[in-house]
Amino acid sequence: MRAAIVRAGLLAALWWVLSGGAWSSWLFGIPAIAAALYLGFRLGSGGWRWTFAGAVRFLPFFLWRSLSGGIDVAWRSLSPSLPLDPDLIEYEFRLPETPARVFMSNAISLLPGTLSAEYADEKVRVHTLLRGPGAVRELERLEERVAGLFGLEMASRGDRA
Amino acid sequence: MTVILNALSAALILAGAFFFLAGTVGLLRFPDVYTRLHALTKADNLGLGLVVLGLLLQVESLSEGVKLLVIWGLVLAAGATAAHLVARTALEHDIRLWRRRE
Repeated sequence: MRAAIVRAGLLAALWWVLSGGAWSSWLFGIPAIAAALYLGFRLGSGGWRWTFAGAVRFLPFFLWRSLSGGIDVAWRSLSPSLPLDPDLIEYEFRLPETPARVFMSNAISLLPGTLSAEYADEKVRVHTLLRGPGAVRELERLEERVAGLFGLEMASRGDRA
Repeated sequence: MTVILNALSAALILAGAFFFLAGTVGLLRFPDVYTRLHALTKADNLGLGLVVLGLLLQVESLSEGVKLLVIWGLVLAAGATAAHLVARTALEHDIRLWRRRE
């Protein structure tokens, strides 16, 4: 019940943003919010709990990496020698849960030099602009931040060569 | 004060436009579908972020500002998802990736 009230409040805030606060718009807004609430619970999206402290740490990291990702690819586009050395790598998740993995797969594509190309349960195939260990380091750092964002413990990587 | 704010806003929007341009150059110059997706998703993400930031300096109400941020978030999610789907489909069709040396 509490989840429903919180969600209705967020949807109402979203409607207020979209409609610019016009009173008459609630005639459509309230049915739309009710429909969105119903669909949300019907389709079920349970696992998206996140922590505030994690978000505070994730957001600056993400903005900073987005900035360098954009600058990096802009520089490669405009540079006459076209400095690319692409590769396709496989990255095994240490994150335990599916929603966090999907979230991470999406975030991968916005970081410098990495693009998630295929997502399977336990791993993701990543296309990189540059061969070498830099991409894996980037992915590991992202995974730590995503784990923090969702308040998750990561599996250890002990038995991996 | 408004002069400085407007100048800053214009500078941010121009910087955003530059990244859209660079992304388009990448789309034309990069050698295969995967590298082109890099150019589009990342340059557009940053370009739109800068344009939104520039426009935020000019908003007249809170709801307008939040709306801009919501638009940016939705474009990020849609762009990343679309890039992933295109790349996955390319892999499924065995489209080889371009490499520096074979």
